Amino acid sequence: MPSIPLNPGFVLVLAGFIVLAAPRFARAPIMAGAGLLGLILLLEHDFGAAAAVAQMGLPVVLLNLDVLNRLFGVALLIALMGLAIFAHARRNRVEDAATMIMAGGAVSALFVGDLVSFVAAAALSGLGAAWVVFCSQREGAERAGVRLLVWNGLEGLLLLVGVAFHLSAGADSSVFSRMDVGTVGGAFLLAAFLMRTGAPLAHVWVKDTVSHASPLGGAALSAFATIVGVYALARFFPSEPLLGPIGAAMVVLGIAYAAAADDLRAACAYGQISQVGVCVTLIGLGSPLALAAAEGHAFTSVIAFTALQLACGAVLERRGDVRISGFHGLARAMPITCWLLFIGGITVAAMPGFSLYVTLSAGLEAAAQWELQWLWTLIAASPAGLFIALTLRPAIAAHRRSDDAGVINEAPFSMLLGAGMATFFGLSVGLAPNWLYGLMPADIAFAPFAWDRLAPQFELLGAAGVTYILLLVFGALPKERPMQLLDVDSLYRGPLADAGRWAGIVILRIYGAWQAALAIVAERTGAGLSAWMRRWDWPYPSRGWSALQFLTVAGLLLIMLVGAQL
Amino acid sequence: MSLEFALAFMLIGPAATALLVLALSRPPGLRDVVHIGGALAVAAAALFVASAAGQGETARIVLARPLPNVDLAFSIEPLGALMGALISVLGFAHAAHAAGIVRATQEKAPARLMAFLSLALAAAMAVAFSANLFSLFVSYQALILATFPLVAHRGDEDARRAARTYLATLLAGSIGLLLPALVWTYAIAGALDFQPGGMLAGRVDTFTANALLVLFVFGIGMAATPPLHRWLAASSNAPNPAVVSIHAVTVLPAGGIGLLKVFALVFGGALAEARIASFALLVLVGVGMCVAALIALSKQDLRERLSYSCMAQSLAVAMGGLLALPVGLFAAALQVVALSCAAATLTMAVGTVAAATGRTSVADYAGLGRVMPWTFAGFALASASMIGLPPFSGAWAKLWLITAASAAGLTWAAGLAALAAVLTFAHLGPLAAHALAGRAPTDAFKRPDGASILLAAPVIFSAAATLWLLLLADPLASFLAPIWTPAS
Amino acid sequence: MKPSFQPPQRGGIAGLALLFCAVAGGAGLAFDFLLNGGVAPRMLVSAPGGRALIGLGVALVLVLAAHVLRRLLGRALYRVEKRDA
Repeated sequence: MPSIPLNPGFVLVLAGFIVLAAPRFARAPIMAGAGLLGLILLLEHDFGAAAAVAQMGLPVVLLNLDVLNRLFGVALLIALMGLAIFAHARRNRVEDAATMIMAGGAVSALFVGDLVSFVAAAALSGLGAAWVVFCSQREGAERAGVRLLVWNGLEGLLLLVGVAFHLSAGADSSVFSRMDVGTVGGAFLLAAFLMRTGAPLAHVWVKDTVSHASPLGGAALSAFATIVGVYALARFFPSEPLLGPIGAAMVVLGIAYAAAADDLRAACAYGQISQVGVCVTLIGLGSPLALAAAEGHAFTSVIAFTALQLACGAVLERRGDVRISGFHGLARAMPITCWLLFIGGITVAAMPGFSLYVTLSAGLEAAAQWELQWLWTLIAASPAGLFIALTLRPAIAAHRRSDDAGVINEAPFSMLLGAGMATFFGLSVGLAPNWLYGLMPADIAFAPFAWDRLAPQFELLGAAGVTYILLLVFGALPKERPMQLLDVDSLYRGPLADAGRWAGIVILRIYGAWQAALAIVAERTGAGLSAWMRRWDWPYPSRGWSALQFLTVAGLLLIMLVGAQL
Repeated sequence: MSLEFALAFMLIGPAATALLVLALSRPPGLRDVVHIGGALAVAAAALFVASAAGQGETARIVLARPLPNVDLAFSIEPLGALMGALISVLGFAHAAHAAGIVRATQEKAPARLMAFLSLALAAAMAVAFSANLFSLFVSYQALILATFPLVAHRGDEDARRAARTYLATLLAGSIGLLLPALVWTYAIAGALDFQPGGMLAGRVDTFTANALLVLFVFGIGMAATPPLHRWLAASSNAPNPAVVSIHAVTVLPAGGIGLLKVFALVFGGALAEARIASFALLVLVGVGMCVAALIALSKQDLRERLSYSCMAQSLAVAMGGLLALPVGLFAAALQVVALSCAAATLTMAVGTVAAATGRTSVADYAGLGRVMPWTFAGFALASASMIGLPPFSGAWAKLWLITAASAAGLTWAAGLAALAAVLTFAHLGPLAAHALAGRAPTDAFKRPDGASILLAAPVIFSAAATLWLLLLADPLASFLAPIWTPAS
Repeated sequence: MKPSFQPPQRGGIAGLALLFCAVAGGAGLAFDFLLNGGVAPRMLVSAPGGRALIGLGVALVLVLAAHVLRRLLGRALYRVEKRDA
């Protein structure tokens, strides 16, 4: 039996099953250990594809390591270790197992070398994500899980159809080359990957699931759910012109909703959509620097937003709710968590010295090389938006005095440790980016800490902050009150669902009437037939007739037998 | 043990088991052991035969020779061996499950039920291993007659009416359509033996091919092609072991096997001549899949819902076969395997739940997964496979089906298959999800000890069988290849 | 709405934040003009002070967007969800 190349994702899935049976004190070490083991496997393995095994007439390549997926893999495994430490504080073994399965599916999808395995791994990750949402104890989580299943099912179907058409056009499924969106298969695959990434109209599942998940679940979902889509776009559709406007729409949509949302976890999810949108536009740009910047940016934003969600999760654990309208008194009650929130916020705002700055400025440079003003402006503007939405707004709200005495009720230590680890990883990458640049695909000779790059970023953030605070002082900001924002999902949860139900009732009525009509027709026909048959059933003298019948049958048999002999 | 002996054992064994069960019906433990043991022996023989067929060995036994060139013969070839292994393995799981159900629900005349289950298994094995159209026809009739008492088991008015519908539909199809098709084929080809590459290849003109195709497809009513599908819904109210047998182990798979043999070994290359009929049938089957899934959505009783769901999946088999490409036949074969495993799991799970809790309607299933985790884990896996969610086996069958449809240039057929998958998700997905994730009901169980191992283990076993395609699918492609390559 | 002059929120860090942002912005602007003052910019927006304008614009637009979104799409929290799947 040929040796199975060990895809790091398989280690995670296996660990997930072990976690189901492990005692409480062992679960977090198993999860973190699995992440570490995966990282070691990853870094030790040389580049190249493992041997193709044939399955159903298709080549299956279980491991194909190159620069692109190594980068994403490192990000996910580091995020996983932070999540594992965080998970130690919670007593939910099923949720831990579901998280590992989701993580394992995502990481496997990154490293497999053929389309069919990719689809299988991505689908496994999606099922794991739905399971994570189901494990949450929050109200409405079960329905949110079912909605996620619907999205996953739709996406899986699109993937399946796309792969089928791609194969039927004669392509080799184990060769990963750029796909053409003009072909039917390519179009379906692009739609599926965009759905996974959170493109506009399909972005609602990110917000929906994160806001309904548990503290750990929200962070896990934001780490693993959309990254597979970004990887797939980078692998299969680099420099695809459609991605530019789509990414731009994601950026705008994400920042607008992030600034308006009351639920901080939903706001962070929208913020993540916007930064993923930056990655998508850079992938659409397609130059080597742009692709490298996009991939690096995905790396840093995964870890940064996971850290932010972990901090939000800590607040959720203690307070039951992460609404900005309910943040008063938080700074007194949970000071460390507030610091973590703040640092997470300025990380995603691309403050120099933190991780997103180094990759965002690389992206800016890539856009500047092509002299695309709108793209450059958009990418430059997004950190300012996130600064306002995810740093200043929560921080100011958290420092408002509340009426109670301010007992310190800090989050559990494991949670703080996990969130802190992820947050400070962002700081370390931000201060010493060459490590990250070394991992990235292209050879980037890029100096992010040159003064002529630092100064504009400070002035951007400073100007945005000053303006915002002045607006606050003048009372021009919207008042913080408990509310929720409608998004595309209100359409299918409200009017569309009602329309569907009405249509279903109408069809049932029609079907019922059809069945009734058929039954009447069948009955009449049956009655008519039996009446007709009875007319032929008149009494006849028995003796003569039966002898005649016997002789006829005997004669026929005789003819058949004699004829068969001839 | 020689292959001929194994083949004979697979056909006669279940019949002998039936007689033994009837004879040794008291004490109940003995009856159950005989039934399960017989099924196990048949499964072992089938696996032995399948591995031999994989090496390329064949065997043939002849039971009678009524007409020149026509004998009642059974032979071992890859497709039959695969299907025989599938049916017998699922039959073994089903035997254990039936024993459990019969005890839990105090079903009346359990020995008679089990005897007819075994007879149905024997007939289905005969269908799988039939060497020519005549044996296929005879085994098909035997299967109808063996399963008719299963539908009528309870003996009350509803059961009798359902049994009448069942018998009428299937017999009308087989005697009214399949028999003439048989005779016509004999008239054209002079023999009825199955040949790789099709015995009619090159011998039929367009009109004959079209007419024969229509006769065969509608004649094999066990494949549930509308309008001969009423038997499926009519049989859904029979005792659960009967339902499992009919929907998942014997009748519906036999329909699929019959269609596969007809498409691959009777028509073969001649399918290209029957373009009009195959196009029309593709439309019928494609639309039928979607409508069946939609009707399933409207049913609140789970047994009826599952019967329409199985119908939709069975129509996918027909679609794969009608595409006239080797890859379409491969897709159809995969679909039969995936459908049988998934349907067996689902129907057995429904039976387990009904026996342990008495609940059969969709609204009552919410949260049950928390008190019956193993059963519902199997239910969820099988639902995912029926829907076609990767990475479960149903997904790969659908993948090949859509590939075949697009390779044949019939994109709309692929679209219909995809739409049917979406509709299947609609009627199975939220059901499984709510069952697993809802609030657990507090007074679920009728019996204090819940469901016995005999009721839960077969569900898990066949759910695991839905995953096996992932691992063993590749050998299948080369295993089945001899069927559609014409013998030179 | 009529802008009314309110003192900064009591107990808040708005004042501290304002100070920091002003210092950072001012320092950034100064360095920007110093370093890039004489050089012809590649693009219009990368002229010195351009990013400050972007920041200002983003803040204004975002606050406006928040108002609009909340007005149009904001709803009170619903407690019990109807069946939607």
